[in-house]
Amino acid sequence: MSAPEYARPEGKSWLDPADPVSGFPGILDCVHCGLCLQACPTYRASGSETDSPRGRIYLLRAAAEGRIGAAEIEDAIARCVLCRACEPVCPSQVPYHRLVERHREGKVPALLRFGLRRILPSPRALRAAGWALRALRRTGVLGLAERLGTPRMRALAGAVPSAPRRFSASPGQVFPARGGARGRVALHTGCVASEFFGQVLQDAVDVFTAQGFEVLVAAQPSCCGALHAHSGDAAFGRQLAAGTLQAIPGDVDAVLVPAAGCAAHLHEYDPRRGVADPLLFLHKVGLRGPLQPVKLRVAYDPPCHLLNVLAAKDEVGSLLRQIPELELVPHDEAELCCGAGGISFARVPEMSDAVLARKIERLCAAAPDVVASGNPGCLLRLEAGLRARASPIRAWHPLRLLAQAARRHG
Amino acid sequence: MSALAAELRRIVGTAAVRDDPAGLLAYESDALTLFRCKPAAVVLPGTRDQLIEVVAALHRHDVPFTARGAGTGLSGGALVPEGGVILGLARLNRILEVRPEDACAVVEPGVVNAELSRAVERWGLRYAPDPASQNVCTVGGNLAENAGGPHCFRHGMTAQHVLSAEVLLADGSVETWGTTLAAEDDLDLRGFLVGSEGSVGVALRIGVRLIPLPECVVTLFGAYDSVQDACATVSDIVAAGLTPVALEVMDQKAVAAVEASLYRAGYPLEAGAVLLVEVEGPAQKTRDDADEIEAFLRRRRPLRVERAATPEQRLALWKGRKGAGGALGRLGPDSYVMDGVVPRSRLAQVMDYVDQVEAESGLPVANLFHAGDGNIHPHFSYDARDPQQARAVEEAGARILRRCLQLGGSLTGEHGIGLEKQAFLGEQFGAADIALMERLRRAFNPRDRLNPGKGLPLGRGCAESFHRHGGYRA
Repeated sequence: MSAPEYARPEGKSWLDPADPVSGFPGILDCVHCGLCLQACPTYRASGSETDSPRGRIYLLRAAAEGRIGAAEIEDAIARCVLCRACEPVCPSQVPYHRLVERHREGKVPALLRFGLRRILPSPRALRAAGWALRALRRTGVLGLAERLGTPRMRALAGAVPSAPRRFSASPGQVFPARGGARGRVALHTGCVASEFFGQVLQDAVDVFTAQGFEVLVAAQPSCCGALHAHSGDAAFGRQLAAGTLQAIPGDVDAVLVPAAGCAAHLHEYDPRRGVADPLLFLHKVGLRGPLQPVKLRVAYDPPCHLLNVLAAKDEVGSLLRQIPELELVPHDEAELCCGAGGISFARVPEMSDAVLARKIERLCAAAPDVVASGNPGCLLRLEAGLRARASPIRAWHPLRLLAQAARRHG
Repeated sequence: MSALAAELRRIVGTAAVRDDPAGLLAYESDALTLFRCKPAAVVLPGTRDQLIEVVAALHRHDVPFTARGAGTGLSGGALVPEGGVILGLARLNRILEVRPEDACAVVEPGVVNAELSRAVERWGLRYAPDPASQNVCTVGGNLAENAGGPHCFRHGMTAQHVLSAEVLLADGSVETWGTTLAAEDDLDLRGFLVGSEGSVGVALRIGVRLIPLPECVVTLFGAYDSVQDACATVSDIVAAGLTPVALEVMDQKAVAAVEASLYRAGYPLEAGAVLLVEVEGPAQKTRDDADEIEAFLRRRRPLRVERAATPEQRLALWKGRKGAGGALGRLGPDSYVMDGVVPRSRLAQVMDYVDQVEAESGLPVANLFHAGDGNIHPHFSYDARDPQQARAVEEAGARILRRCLQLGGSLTGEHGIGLEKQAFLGEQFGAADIALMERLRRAFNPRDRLNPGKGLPLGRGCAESFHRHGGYRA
């Protein structure tokens, strides 16, 4: 069967390199059909075309063609949280996130650039920042800023969890498998996660050793570069991704990244390195019993990049349903973004707050004990939203539920 | 405008009024990018009361406006001429009431078509009209355009499913037309409103009919060497008195685009055309009908006949069909979907003509159409930045439309007249008919401020005052 002449071969472009939009490959594939609108959390929050993927693509194209000044469209593009929910519903497969990243490239504000280049990739700077922020949280300074600050201050203060915990294992440390051994995995500890989400990383160790995996704690550097790519420093982000993956030995069954956004970024950087979200990996290899009951009502809120980049379906739900006595409670619009969007919550706090408010409302209506989401960025944001409402709902990584189910008697 | 803008901001809040360059540019066209016109302002009211106040203010300032739902229309209906205001109604998206025992619901105009169906599913009900954009388009926009969809072959267009509307008139006053009860008005103003393309009033609340979810659904397809064989099979099925709910044809180019996209459904690439048929109803009768239809599908030497074995397969076939329009976008920088109707018996003839136009214009055309309704949708791929191509596309569309009329058809099946087809109205209707329609519209829209320049070719803002896509660079 010959390929029909109308199916344009993948990646081939009829674009003349002199065409003003040639810097945005794929932008002309958008036919303005609008099928992306409802998938977009920012459009659903504001109802404005400028906050929709279609509107943003239209503005990017108009700017490239010189019909509008680049500065005029800055706000509209900045308000995108890059959840990428528009990509799987686009019949023309417009590579939307690449267009936005291309536009942001090189436009990183100085302070942000400092944080991205000097703090996140440096274990020492990260450790100092982590120590200071944990102290500010403990002493109530951050709580005060969350109540009284400007939207951006509130957003930044909210980005430190209520009970931050450092991951104490050292790089290169190996945790032996318990029970019958099934394999060996590397654990990517991450930048923010290793300072604030020690609990999640410890839970990952507990779950996988109990499941019969030897767990190797990856060596530093441990920042994947996703935030850099989304914020306009893509080349540096790629360097970090390369360095991170190089530091991990090749003879592991999987490189587990317990942050869906980071897992997605590393997977896209190099699909052959076996980078996996720990929950999707666990679903693939099968959950080994017996599991202890966990008597909680849980709302599962999937991270956007788990759905839209790693193409998750019901894997996590199916894992959680195997835990005795755990009750999964549905909430509306679970597939919509929480507004965290990497560092969008601090870049565009008003939009992020509007998206988050909608999410928190849906969660409060379902009233679970725990909302589970497998991405630290989302957990921070959900926790901040719930804290602001004085809601008793706790925000946990699904690994914590699995770790509780895997605990030994006594 | 600045006094008006200040007043609008007072009513809806600062963030919900846009008059910055990006805000205006994003609203310069709908899903038909052949036409563009930047509004003077965009207002996004968040409540019914705000919308009423906004329209009253626009009345006082004598400013024209166009209501817009999701902007997925394909006839340029959601554009406003220079100096006018766009009312974006996406935020008015509450389902106000569902009465399952009466099989009806009352919704705000910005409720998304498919979300209404999802919301009433728990009572075993659905909202029948299903345009390809159903996951994003709004019930209000559907009402304005009398939207259709594949399943309208059996269930009827939007007009058959709107029972009542609370209507905001040009001067800001509110009336209710029609009723959700099975009662009849003396004069069917509700019927007049549906399909009036926003030129009579703005629906504030819409009472819609809900129909039961079918007990059983069967979806089949036959793949043929030619579009002609597929069309003949459609005639066979209908002539035999069978009543499928949908009869859809896609030609080879449309199938190729779908199969190369994320919506690939397993349609055979080697076929000249694919005919998609759906039957629904009580289980036994549906299966019997499906067997009979399958026999017809096999009559004209099909390359393949298949029946979806699982609900997932069924869904995939429909996703492919409904994503086809967007998938065709990859074939060129811009696309133009036209909409015309012929008597079902003339489908093969008009498709021959479309082939001829394709050959003569040199513009690639892909076809997907609602065969049951004789409603064709040729998709042209072109580059709008080349004024010559833009003109050629318009010309090709015009030739096909005229052919539809010659064959005893009509100008639009479901996209509306909008800006696109005004010039042709005089070819379908006599001067006296148009004058009568004009008088009717004037009764509600005396100063032509509601969606001016659409539908009827009259008043200010006729098609010439809208910029043609392509013109800006020429």
